[in-house]
Amino acid sequence: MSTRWYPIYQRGNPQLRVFLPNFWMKLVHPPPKQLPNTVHFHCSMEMTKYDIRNYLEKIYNVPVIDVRTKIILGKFRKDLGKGYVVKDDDIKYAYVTLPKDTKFVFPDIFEKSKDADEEHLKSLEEAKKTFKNYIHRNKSRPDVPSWFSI
Amino acid sequence: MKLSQVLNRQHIGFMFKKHWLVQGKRVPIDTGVEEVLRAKGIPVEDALEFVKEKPEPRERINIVGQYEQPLPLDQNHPDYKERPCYTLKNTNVLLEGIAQAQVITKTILAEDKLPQKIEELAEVVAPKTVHDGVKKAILSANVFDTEQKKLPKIKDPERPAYNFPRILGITDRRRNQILTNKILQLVERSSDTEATLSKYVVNDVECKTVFDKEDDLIQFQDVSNILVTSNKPLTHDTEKDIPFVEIPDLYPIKHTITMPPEHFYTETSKYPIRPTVSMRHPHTTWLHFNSTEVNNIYETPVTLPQILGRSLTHAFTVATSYAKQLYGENVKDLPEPVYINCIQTDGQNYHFGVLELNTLNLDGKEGATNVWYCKNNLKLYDSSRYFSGMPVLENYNPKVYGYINAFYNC
Amino acid sequence: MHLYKMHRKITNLKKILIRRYSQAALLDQNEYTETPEYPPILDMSLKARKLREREKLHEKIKNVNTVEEKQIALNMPRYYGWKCVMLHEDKVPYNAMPMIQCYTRSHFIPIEKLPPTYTESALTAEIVVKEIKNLVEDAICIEHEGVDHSFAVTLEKPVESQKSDALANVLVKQINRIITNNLADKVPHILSAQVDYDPRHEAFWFVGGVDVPSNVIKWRKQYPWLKDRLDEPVDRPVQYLGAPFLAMRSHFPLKPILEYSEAENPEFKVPKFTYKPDTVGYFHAYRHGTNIPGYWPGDHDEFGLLSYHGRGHILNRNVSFGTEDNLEALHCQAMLASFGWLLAQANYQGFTTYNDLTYPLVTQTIITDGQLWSFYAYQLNTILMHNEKIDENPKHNICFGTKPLKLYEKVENGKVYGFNEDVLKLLVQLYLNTPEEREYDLKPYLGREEQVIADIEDDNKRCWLEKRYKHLVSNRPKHLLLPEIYLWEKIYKIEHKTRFFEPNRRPFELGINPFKRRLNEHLPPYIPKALRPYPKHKKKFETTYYPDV
Repeated sequence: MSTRWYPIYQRGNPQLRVFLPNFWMKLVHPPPKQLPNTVHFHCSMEMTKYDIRNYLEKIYNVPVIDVRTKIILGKFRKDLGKGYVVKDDDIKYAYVTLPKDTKFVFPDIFEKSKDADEEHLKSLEEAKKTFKNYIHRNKSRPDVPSWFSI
Repeated sequence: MKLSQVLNRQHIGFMFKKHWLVQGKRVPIDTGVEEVLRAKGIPVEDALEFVKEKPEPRERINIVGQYEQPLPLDQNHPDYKERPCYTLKNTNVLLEGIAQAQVITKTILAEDKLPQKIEELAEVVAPKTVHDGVKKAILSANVFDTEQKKLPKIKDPERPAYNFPRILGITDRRRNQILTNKILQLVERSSDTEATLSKYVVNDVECKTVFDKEDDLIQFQDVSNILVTSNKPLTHDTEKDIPFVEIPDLYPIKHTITMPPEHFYTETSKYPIRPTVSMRHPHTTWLHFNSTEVNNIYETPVTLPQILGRSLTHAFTVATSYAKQLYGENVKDLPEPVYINCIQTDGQNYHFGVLELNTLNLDGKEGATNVWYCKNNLKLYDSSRYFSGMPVLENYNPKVYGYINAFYNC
Repeated sequence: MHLYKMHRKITNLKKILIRRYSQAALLDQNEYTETPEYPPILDMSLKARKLREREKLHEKIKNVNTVEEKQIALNMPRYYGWKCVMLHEDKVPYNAMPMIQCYTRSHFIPIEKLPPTYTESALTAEIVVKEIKNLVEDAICIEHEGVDHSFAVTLEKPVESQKSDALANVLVKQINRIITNNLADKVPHILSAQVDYDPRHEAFWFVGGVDVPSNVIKWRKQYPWLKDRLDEPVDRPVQYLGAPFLAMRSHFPLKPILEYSEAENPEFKVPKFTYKPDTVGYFHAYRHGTNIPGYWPGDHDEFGLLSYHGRGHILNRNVSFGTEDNLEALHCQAMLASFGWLLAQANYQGFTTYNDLTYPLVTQTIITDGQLWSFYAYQLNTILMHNEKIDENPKHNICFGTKPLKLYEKVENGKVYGFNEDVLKLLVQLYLNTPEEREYDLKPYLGREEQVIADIEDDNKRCWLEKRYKHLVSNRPKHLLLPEIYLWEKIYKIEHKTRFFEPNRRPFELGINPFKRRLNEHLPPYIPKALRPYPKHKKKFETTYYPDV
């Protein structure tokens, strides 16, 4: 990673080459309905379309047909506790088109953790059930502590 | 009232200004560090010693940009010349109109007279389908075309500051283009194959001619909206015993008036079609008069003689540029006259002319002269527009088509 | 004042007391029938009621008399214009073919030679080609090397494509001139046909079955009865804008290429494309829908013969798109251009995107840069593809198209090398395709006497409609700015209600969507008192003649 400032290239500028610039791209889950050959990314704000294309082609050997970018306004939210409105950072989106015969499916990353979640839910449900039973049993004895029983 | 009274009042802007002045001259507070350091024997150096040298000015980067930038118009421009060249472009008109054009081009006038052959051909009656086609062309140019662009501002002389809503419609440029092209198409389709085979039609080509007249360098730059060329030079049998209008005396006006002097020009004439092309001889040139584009340089409205003068200078430009391509740049008296037909139109009025170019020696009034036969102000129709929501074509004049047809077929 | 009020009261009373049009009850009509007659049982669910409402609207548009009024009627629901998917002829994104095919409902058939209807003109074409071959070669030479053309360069498009289009434009004009001059004596329809240079081709229609935008889903979520209908597709307005170099039209339509019954052939089925147009790379714009085939309604020559389009935009496309997609882009351009032009023509015949064609229309499209020529023949069978009909409608349009063919290899030293006569022959055959009069009524949905507004008797109505129609289709910017929710309002009033103490005055606070305003929801022009008819006349505003839909 380089700490050098990466300037946006204008035609006629001296070609500046920064070794390992501060670039990152994050694959994100696309909105529900999307052409199968497009992939969505978040990327660093300084990246141009050319940078995105080179990043994918040169590092990951992904055949890129077309890149469209847009900058999305960050969300406004109320600061917790303070009550005033704050704004999140803007995000640069990159929509990358792959050749038309390719198909991209977003990987299911949390496959294992899903089972764990389900088990967790199950135990929770059981606990709820027992509590309900307990309440039901002691319906006729309000305000009596739990240890006061046979 | 004294000024200080106002200034002493609470005034936040004034206060800020004063505050800036005060804050701008801040004196560093003596923290006593220097004393302490010196006591401990550590040398203290003045920071200003290090910033004494001024940074070197960096060279400006020459940004190329997406498109090539035009060269600045100064004395280093390759086309710059010391001697001014009086320029007439197709968006300008001569002050004195046809009279001034006559003087510059050394031309005598045969008014309301066209060569005999044209008059004869113009009498030929065209079939009804052709006239229907012309009517359709007029309607399609004035009424049915779907261009919706801003038309010139409407001004009421009674209340010149009043802004009327801007009307969208067919611009005069587009109207003329449609009308002339459609009429020419009709003429071609209804003519014999031999006539059409020997001709070629090009649109919007530029002609340029540069010549000397009485120690002045003059150039005409003109756009021929339709240029019909043929495979052999056009000839006319002309009569010599017509009452010609001789070249007038413009005194006290000089003949270069309202032609702005230019310093950036090339000294060669330009005919748009190269000499290798067999069908390069100019036959008929069509000139559009677009009232939004053609202006006097002094904002006065364009008058009829000025429009007629435009026809002559235009025909002259095309003919001379062709003659110069044929006989060389410095030709004076032409071995054979060059003929060219010219039709100028603003859509409604047609001005027909035939130029006989005899000489390019334009000094004085003696010797050989050029001849301009013309027939002006023929109206194709009285009005054609949407009149209260209905398309209207009033008073179609079939004679004009006869002349256009004759010009094409002569 | 009192008198005046009195007078008004009396007239009101009169109205109540005097029944001017009284009819005697029809006595002979028998109230009773042998079998009981019930009114039809209607489905009173929300969905069915809304559907009936829409069908009523379509029927109303069908019954409007004139072409222009129908166009205004299409635009009636939106004062600020529809939010249209903009399909530009010269902007084709990557992999647009499936979408364009679905949106124009066109089945594409790649061909090597022209469809069978053209075979009879092959012989004549060959003779003509022999006659004009040299002329065309000369013209190509002259336009390449012989004439100095100067054309104005704009900064909006890359220079390369502009140069290509400019050369194609002059070449097309020359070749058209040569062919029409030659054919004018041989076939009669050429002489009477009109040639338009740089006409304005625009078309507007609705496409259904497209995925719902997220804001609509959000809107639906607030109503419990829409809960299970969140993903129900909606109509998308689509606007095509095209600019051919040259278009030829005549009084009669061309013969159909295939039988009209073939339109329902399931072989020609077009796969549905449900993704949003923005996913392909198309954009939206607010504008009134316009249907313009290059002339205003009322022109004599209403049916297109052929149109020439440029292919300079191919040069602007990304190199990574590849040649195969460039070819598809050409097909897309051809389908769009043909469909758009024919749809606009169909609109002038009284059909709209809600009322389907009753007969096929045909056009021929040529895409060229002077050297490469691709030929397309298109038959329009249906223009019905809004939300209710996109799945039901069995008809499809058919497009035949060739690959780009080279007319010549190169031009050098005033000579054309490798001139391909077959390409010229194809071109001549398109010209030889003769339009014919049809036996049936071409304008079934237009009035008998009134077909365009120029036929309307009422002077005021005609002038008003003419002005309004031209104003509408010009799509000129509005005098006032479009309604807008400012960002600060969105932050502090909508997303976070930090200004609850302020009075609610803005449309979003009153629950009004200003973009749902109807076209006629505006104050008509005021009549100054001095101009009102004498004596007392209380009409303050001028009459408007919006179609009643």
